[in-house]
Amino acid sequence: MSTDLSRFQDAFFEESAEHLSTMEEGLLQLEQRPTDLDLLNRIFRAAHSIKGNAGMFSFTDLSGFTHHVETVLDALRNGRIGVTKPVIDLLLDARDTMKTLLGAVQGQGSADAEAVEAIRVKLEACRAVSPVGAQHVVPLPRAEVGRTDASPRLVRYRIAWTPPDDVFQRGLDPARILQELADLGTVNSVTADLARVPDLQAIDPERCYLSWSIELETGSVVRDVESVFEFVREGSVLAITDVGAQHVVPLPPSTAEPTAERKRIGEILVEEGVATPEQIAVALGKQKRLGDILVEDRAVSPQQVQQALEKQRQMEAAAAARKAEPSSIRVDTTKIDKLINLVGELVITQSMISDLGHHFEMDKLPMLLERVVQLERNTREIQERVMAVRMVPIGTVFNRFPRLVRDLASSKRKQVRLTLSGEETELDKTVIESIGDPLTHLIRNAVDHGLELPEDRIARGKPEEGTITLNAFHQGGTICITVEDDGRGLNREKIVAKAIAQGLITEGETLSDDAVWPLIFRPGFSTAEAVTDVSGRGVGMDVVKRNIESLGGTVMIQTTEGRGSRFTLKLPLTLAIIEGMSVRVGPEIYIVPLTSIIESIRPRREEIKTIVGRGELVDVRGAYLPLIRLYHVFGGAANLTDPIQAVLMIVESEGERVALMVDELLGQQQVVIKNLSQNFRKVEGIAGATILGNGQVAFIVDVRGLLTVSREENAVAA
Amino acid sequence: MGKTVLVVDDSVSMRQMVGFTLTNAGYTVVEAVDGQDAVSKLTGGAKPNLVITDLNMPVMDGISFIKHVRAMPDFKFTPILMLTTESADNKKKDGQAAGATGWIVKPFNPEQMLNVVKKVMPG
Repeated sequence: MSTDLSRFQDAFFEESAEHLSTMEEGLLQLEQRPTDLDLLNRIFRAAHSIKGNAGMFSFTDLSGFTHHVETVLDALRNGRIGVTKPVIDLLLDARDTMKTLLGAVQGQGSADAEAVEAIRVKLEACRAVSPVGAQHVVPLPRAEVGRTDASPRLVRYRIAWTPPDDVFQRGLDPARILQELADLGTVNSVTADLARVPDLQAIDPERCYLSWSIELETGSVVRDVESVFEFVREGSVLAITDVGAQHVVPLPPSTAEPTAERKRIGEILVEEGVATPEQIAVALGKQKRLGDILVEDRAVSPQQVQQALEKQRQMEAAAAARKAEPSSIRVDTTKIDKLINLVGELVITQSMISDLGHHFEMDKLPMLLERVVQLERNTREIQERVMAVRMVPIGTVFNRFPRLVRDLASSKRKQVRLTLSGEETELDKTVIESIGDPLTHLIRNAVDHGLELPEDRIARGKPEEGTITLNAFHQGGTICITVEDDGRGLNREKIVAKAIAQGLITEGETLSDDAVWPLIFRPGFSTAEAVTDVSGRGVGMDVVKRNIESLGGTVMIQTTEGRGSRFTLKLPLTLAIIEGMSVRVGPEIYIVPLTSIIESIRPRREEIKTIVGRGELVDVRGAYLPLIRLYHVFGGAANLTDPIQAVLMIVESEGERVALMVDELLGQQQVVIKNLSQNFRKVEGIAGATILGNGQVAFIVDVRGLLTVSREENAVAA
Repeated sequence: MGKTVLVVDDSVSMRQMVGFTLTNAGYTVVEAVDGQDAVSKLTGGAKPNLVITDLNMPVMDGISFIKHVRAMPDFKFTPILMLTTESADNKKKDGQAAGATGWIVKPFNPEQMLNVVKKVMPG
C-alpha cells in the first residue's frame, strides 16, 4: 500500500483556506455575540479539522500549533475563560500564524519560528489563567500501534475474558477477537463458560452470555495481546496472566536496525569537527558538473550537453507552468442542474426542428418560425446560465473587510462600525479577483482619512462611532459597489491647493466640484498631512482608478464636507461580453467598447489642424485632441478620407481623449469577446475579436492600446 | 472482497484520502459529508458492511450519527469506527456509549487504518 498522500494535498490546502476564513469571520462575530455557542463550535470545528488533517499530511508544525489554538477554543467553549478582546486578538493573531504556517507548507514563504513560538507561549498562558487550573497538556497524538521487539521469547498466557453483554450492539464480534488472538501465535485451548446463559425463554439473542478462557502461546508481548481487546475493553472483564516461558527460541537479530536519517558526508564531517563549513563549501565548489566531466572524457560533445541542459530547463519551466495553471471554481450544484435542464430543452427543440425539416411543407412555416424563436430563447438562457457559472458572490471579497476595519480602527484609535450589504450579489470570478485591492484601498482611506477621531466627532455633534457602509447591487447591466463613510468628506480647498502645487491645474482656474474630486485620482496625489503606514503615500487612488478601468468600470465620487463621502464603482457583470458600438471603416467593422466613448461629432473644416510633431488635431470646444485615422493604424482602406465627411468618435482612456475617425456608426450591440492572443498573437490596439450575426469577424478596439500605438507613430513621424 | 464502507467526514481531503485507501484495498466506498447526509444514504438503500465516521461535523455530529445508526434495525450490528484526534479517553467512552465499535486516532497512515478496518470488518 502506497503511503503517498501528496495527491490529496491540494484539496487539503483549499479546504484549510476555507476553514481559516471561517475562523476569522467567526472570531469577529464572536466578539459581538460572546455567548453564541453555535458560532464557537463552528470556529472550533474549523480549527479542529485543520489540526487533524495537517497531522494526516505530516505537517507537524501546523498541526502542533493548531492544537494550542484548539485548546484555547475549547476553554472558551467550556466557559473556563471568557470571550474578551485580548483573547480574540490573540486568537486572530494565532489564526494568521496558522495561515503563515499553511503558506509555508505550500512553499509560499516561510514562517518565522520565533514569532510562532511567541504566539504559542501566549496561547498557553491564556489557557493557564483558567480558574479551574492547569489542564494536562495532551501531547500530539500518535497512532496507537505498538510493536516492541524486546522479547524474542515465546510466552504462554492464560486469558480469561468476559465480554460486555452488549458486545454485539457495539458492532463487535467475539469470534473475530478469538481469531485475532490465534493470529498472534498458537492457541492451545479455548473454553467457553456457559454458566451465565439463562433459560431459553429468557434469552435475548442480541446479548452475549458467554465467557472464554484461552491459552495462547506467542512471541508477542503482553501489550500486543491487550491491544487485541482494545475496542472491547470497555465493559469487559479481562485477565491476562503470564503462565511462564515455555522454551526460548532464538530469533535472528532484528534487521530493522533503526537507520539514522541519511546525512551528507559534509554534514557529518562538520559535526565531528573534522572540517569547517567553509572548507566544505570550497571543496564542493571544486566539484565538476557531470556535463563537464563527460565533455572532458569526450563521451559527449559540448553541444549535446547544452541541448540536454536546455531540455532540462524547458521541462522545469513546463512543470512550473503546470503547477501554476489550473484555477478552479466552486459552483453551486443547482446552477449546474439548471444548465443541464436547459440543455435538455435545447435538445428537444433541436429534434423538433429537424423533424420539421424532414417533412417540410410551406404551410408549416409559422410552426418553423415558432420553433426558431424557441431555439433563440433556449440559446439565450443557456448563455446566461453558463455565464452564471463563473459568477461568484461578492461576499467572498467583502468577508475580509471586517477584520481589516477592526485592525485599522484599533491602530488609528477610531471607533468604526462596518455595515455590509448585498453580499449575495454575484460578479464574474475574474472581476472578483481584481476588485479586492481597489476596495481595500478605499476602505483603508475611509478609516484613515474619512472618519474623524471619536472626540472630534463628538465635538461636531456626530455619534462617537463612525460608520462605513459597503454595498453591492445590480443596476442595469452593471454592478455597483459603494463605499460610504460618514466622516469629514473631501476638502475642496486642500485638493485645489495641492493640485495647483503639483501643476495639475493653474491658479485662478474655476472648476466645478465634479471636476475637482477626480483630481485625487491623479498619480502622486495625496492630501494626507502625515504619511501613515496606512495611506497618504500618494500611491493609491490612481491605482484604484486604473484597476477599475482595466476591468471596464468607472469610479464616481460624491462628497459633502463634514458629512462624508461615497465612492461608487460601476463594473461590468462579466468581462466576456461587452456593450460595444460597431463602426465601419471601408469594408471592415470594428467594435469600440461603449464605456470609452464620450461622443461622436462631425467637425467643421477650420477645426482640423495639423501640427508638426503632433500630427493632426481636432478642436473640440476649445480642447485640441489628437485625430487618429483608424485605417492608418490598422491598415486597409476607408471610403472617406476627409475628416469633415467622416465621423469622429471622441474616446477616453485614463483621462486622455482622442478622436477616432471612422466611416460610419452602425449601432450598439452586445458582443462576446473572443481572445485573439490564444489563437493568433497579441496585437497592440486590439482587445480581441467577435463574430457578427452574418458570420463576419470584427475586431474589438482596445482604446488604451490604440493611444499607445498612435503616440508611437507620431513620435516616429516626427 | 466486495465489502462496502460508508465514509462520513465533512473534510474533502479526509474523505478522498480514506476513500482512496479503501478503494485501493478492494473495498467499495460510499461517502457522506456529515451525519445527516450519511443517515439519508443509509435510509436511501446503502448497505455498508462497515462505517467510518468523523466526530466533529456540522449539521449532525459523529456521536449523534452513531446513535442514529444503532437505532436502525438494519445496522444494529454494523461495526462503526470513529476518527478522532483525541487520544483522550472521554471521547472514546462517549463514542462507545453511543455504540461505536472502535476508533482510529488521527494522524494515521493508510496501513494503520486498514489494519483497524480488517480487525472489525465482519467476515
